[in-house]
Amino acid sequence: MIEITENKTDGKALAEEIAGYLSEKRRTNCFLRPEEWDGIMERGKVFRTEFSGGLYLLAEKERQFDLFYFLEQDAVPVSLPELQKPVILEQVSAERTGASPAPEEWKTVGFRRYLQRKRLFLAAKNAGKESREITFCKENEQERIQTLLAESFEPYTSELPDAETLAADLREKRVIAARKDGSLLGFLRFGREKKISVLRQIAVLPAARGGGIGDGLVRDWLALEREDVAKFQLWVREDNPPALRMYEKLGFLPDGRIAPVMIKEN
Amino acid sequence: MDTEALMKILAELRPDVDFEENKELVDSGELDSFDIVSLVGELCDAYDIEIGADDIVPENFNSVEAICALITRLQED
Repeated sequence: MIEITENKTDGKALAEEIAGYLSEKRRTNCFLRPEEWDGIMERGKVFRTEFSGGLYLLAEKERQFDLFYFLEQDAVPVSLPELQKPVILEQVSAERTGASPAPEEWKTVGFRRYLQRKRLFLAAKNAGKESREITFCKENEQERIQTLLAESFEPYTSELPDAETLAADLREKRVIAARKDGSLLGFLRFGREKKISVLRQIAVLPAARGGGIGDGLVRDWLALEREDVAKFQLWVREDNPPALRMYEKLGFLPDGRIAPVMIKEN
Repeated sequence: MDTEALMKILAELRPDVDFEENKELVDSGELDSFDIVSLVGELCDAYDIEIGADDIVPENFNSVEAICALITRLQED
């Protein structure tokens, strides 16, 4: 069994080490920008294990370890020892080539399929011309939003905002509201990545689902952002046909990017 | 160098991106780090070059012209 030790280098050194592996064309699921490693290390410890043909990095979070692998072309995944928390393996991949190693190979070392997302896009020029009256969530609705987020999304890979991030988004009008008679029925949280507007999360109260609330929120987002960005982008779970149908109706198309997620629990 | 082959690689990588028009492929957010890592692997195989860690920087991938210049330089090295 391989041994795991705490990584002792800083974020910069780790990013440089990783750049070397990428240059060697090792197979990997790590596409973080170099500067992101400092943030990961502030949030939790990073552990590492080297073995013949590869390296694993395990970034510890509150509920899980995120696994990053760097495998030489011919190397195969090796088993991890039992850990106190689940290990999550997300493999952002191109649909035409699939993930490498394939999910089947990870099954041989104890992982099982957890979910898969696909990425959709809509060019801003195709986002319609509809004008809409948009309202935003208020700062005093933060707790309700946080509760609805926790109830609506799986806990490991949904990139839910922490309280500080959500508070900033509320202040800066990045959380669109759907209301009826003043009562919050749902919301859409978005952000910018350069010239792309990215949907972070959309959620509707269970009792209000199926009534077009989600569709209205997405239309609000498009109307709000289309003059200022080149493109809209979002990730959607492949096991959520109603959401897929809604985005397709609005003109969203897959851009060929998928993200299968595997999990290993003891 | 064979730009037709490069355009084919790019079109397969991201069919949704207008590579001829966009001169800020990385700076506009169209190409992310996944695309760049994928592209590095494909360019190394297609042009028989080695792209070192120092060359995996946004300015080498912002436009088709910049990618061509990188390939040409590494072929001459």
